[in-house]
Amino acid sequence: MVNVDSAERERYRALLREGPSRDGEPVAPDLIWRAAAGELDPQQTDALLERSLRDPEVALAWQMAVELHDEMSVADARMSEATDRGTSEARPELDNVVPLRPPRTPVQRAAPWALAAGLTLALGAIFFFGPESVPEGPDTLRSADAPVARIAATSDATLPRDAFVLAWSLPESVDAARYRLWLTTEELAPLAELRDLDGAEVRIEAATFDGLADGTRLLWRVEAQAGGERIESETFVVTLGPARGD
Amino acid sequence: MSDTALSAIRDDDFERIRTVLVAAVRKLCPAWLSAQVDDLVQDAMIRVIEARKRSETDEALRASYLWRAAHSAVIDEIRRRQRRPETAFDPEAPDPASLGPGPERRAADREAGDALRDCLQTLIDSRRSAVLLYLHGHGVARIAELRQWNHKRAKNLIYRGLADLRDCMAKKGFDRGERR
Repeated sequence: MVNVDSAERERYRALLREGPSRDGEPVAPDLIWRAAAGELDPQQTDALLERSLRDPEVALAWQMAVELHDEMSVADARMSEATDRGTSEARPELDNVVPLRPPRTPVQRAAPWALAAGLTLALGAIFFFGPESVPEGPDTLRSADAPVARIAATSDATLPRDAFVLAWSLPESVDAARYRLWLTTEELAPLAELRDLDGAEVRIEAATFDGLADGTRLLWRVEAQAGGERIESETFVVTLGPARGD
Repeated sequence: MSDTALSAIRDDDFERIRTVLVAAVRKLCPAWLSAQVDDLVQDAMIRVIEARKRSETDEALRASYLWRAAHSAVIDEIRRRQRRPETAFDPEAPDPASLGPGPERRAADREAGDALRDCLQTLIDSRRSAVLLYLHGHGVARIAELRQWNHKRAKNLIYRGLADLRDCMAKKGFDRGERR
């Protein structure tokens, strides 16, 4: 989809959410959640979708449901990874429960955006690490179905907390993309969420890791918007290393 | 919250459920509602407890239900405030209007929103459906799954629908959702 970029798409999304209150009975949020999850029959889904065109409240609830579903997929990826390693610590009655760090301060909330501005620093840092710490390995970026793209990604590496650079790439056959990246602890406590990245690498500010011990394993994943298609990566694992101090 | 209600959930589960609800509510909460996060988490927690009491299973304790409960709590509160803005008055809380765009911008957004809805209405049904799902945040693969289309068809419908939408908006004098 090259005819509408992410900024234009975001503008349209916002316009659908805005508008006067609707007449008639409001739609139960739970019903909208189920529609977004594909749990309703097609007729019900159609009806709700049409209503979302006329009713900003429904559009808002739908968009929020999709956003939360995306967050849940991070938890699913975490579970898959734990299962693959044969070290699932999940409790069966509470699987996918996500522990959370204490509420972030406004400064911490702003940090990811500042990080994006520091993207250019990443080039130098990546050079420092060299190819052995950013393996050109077989990790796979894949969408939920057919298209499969190979990537190289920062994985299974120990990264100094003061030069913490994550890098990835799409194959040349895929059009230029914008990226969204999530970084969490192994317990899925969110550390950073960076949106609208236009480069395939990012340096994470050292302050992001305050309170985390050296040797802490961290999870990250990236989502590419390429030609209007969303391509989600696997979840990669890196280890937080001590500061280099230079 | 009564002891009876709390007894529906084991003590050792309580804090972990709460952390999920806090994460989900924080994710969704608009800035003008940020002062209400604790109340919304409490509201979502009550929904979980009530669902747990109604059910013989642990379904209400699963993460998917927790996220859903948080979604419902936030949406209901947004609606409540939008329908009865006077209840939002709190001298210490930020005024939602002051956090949003000014009147001129709101008028421009309203005009662009009306144009967008008009244009979407003119799309043929399958394209409108594909574009709406796309604008609500679903990816191509998910849209194909939801509509039971193959991937190529989903992609084509979105592509053509977006092209139609852009053309229509351009005819109405809008470029990328903004008045030219």
